[in-house]
Amino acid sequence: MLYKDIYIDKPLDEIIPDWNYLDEKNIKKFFGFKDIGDNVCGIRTIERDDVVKPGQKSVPIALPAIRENYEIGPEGVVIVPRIPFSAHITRAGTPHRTQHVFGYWHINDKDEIIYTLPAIGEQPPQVIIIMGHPRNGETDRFAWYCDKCLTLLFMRESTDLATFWADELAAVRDYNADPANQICPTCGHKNPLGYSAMQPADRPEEREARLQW
Amino acid sequence: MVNLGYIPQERKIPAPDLSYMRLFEDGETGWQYRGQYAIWMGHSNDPAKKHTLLERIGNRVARIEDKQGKTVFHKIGNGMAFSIENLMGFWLSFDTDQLWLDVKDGDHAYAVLSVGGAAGKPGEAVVDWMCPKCGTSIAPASLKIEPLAFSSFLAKVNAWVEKFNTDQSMRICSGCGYAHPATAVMPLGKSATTPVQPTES
Repeated sequence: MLYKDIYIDKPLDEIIPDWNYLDEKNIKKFFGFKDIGDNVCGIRTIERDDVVKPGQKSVPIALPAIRENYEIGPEGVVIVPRIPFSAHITRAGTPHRTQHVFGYWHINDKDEIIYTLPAIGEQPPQVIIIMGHPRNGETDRFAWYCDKCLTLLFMRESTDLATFWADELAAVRDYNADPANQICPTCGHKNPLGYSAMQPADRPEEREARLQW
Repeated sequence: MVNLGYIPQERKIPAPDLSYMRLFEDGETGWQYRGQYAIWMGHSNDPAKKHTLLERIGNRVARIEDKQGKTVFHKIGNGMAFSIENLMGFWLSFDTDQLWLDVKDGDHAYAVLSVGGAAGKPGEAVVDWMCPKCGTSIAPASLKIEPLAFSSFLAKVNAWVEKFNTDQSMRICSGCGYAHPATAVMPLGKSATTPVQPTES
């Protein structure tokens, strides 16, 4: 308490607007990815065990407890555990995907830090995602690899964070539009359709794909 | 087998740095500069040793904590001077944003600081002290952070702290004449959550 003589005695809300992003009045701003300066951030609440059913009320990006997280590394596809009270850093350039949450591999030029928080008191389990704000041509990519042999099937890029979600949905729809995109040119495997992270945008066939992978 | 000199035979072939995971309670690894962020984590089950974020606003100090003990996720803006109780006895500001996570779960308190996000940052920092009587900055030093040399930067910070501790004239507040006490250097490497107490001259 070295500074007890010069502490500010006003509530933090009065001196630092939005000082706690997890506060109820702020958290809704982080349902997608919010620009917070040098970083963009998303906060996801684990609301339910399984995938949202059509017509069920939910946040746009719903994380079911049953999901698995994957990355592609030198050894192929690996499951990345989400351990309570941990930080996982997905390095730039690493294709990564969350089962039932977004139906493509996200590859970005910025690192992502993922904090996993369990339920604490009345606070539900949460996942906080931080990544550097892409600038000056730094790119987000939406890619599909063959489920059987990891051949790259299809990829679209986005270099403007402001149009990230529009670019993401357009990439999904482009991939889904032509069945030839889903056939692996190496092994002939027929891969499932893609789907957006914004589950309210799902078409019926995309919702089927969300349940599948 | 002939070694042509690019990779010493006795050493493992270098591989790219891939993704990794750390538990919040694993303070043993200290500061890590991996990829695009410098990250520090602290854990305590002793309320007296909890890591609490302080921010300097003008010549006053704000304690960044939730009074009810709820989890706090907070941005320390680029250029904001901050200190962390029970980690550092001095103040730092970086030329990039930082994100602070403060989690309390029963008797356990966890804190995570991530520094970075912008390309090529952090590239510069200011270390100083703050007069606890009038809030004046004391003994500021501007330090460059060279690419991939965050650990060298931390060593430079501690060297400045040791100089501050041994040179009493540096510790006199120019605003009110108060003599700032010597302060702990920042713990580095293993057991990096327990400050090393000063040896005052």
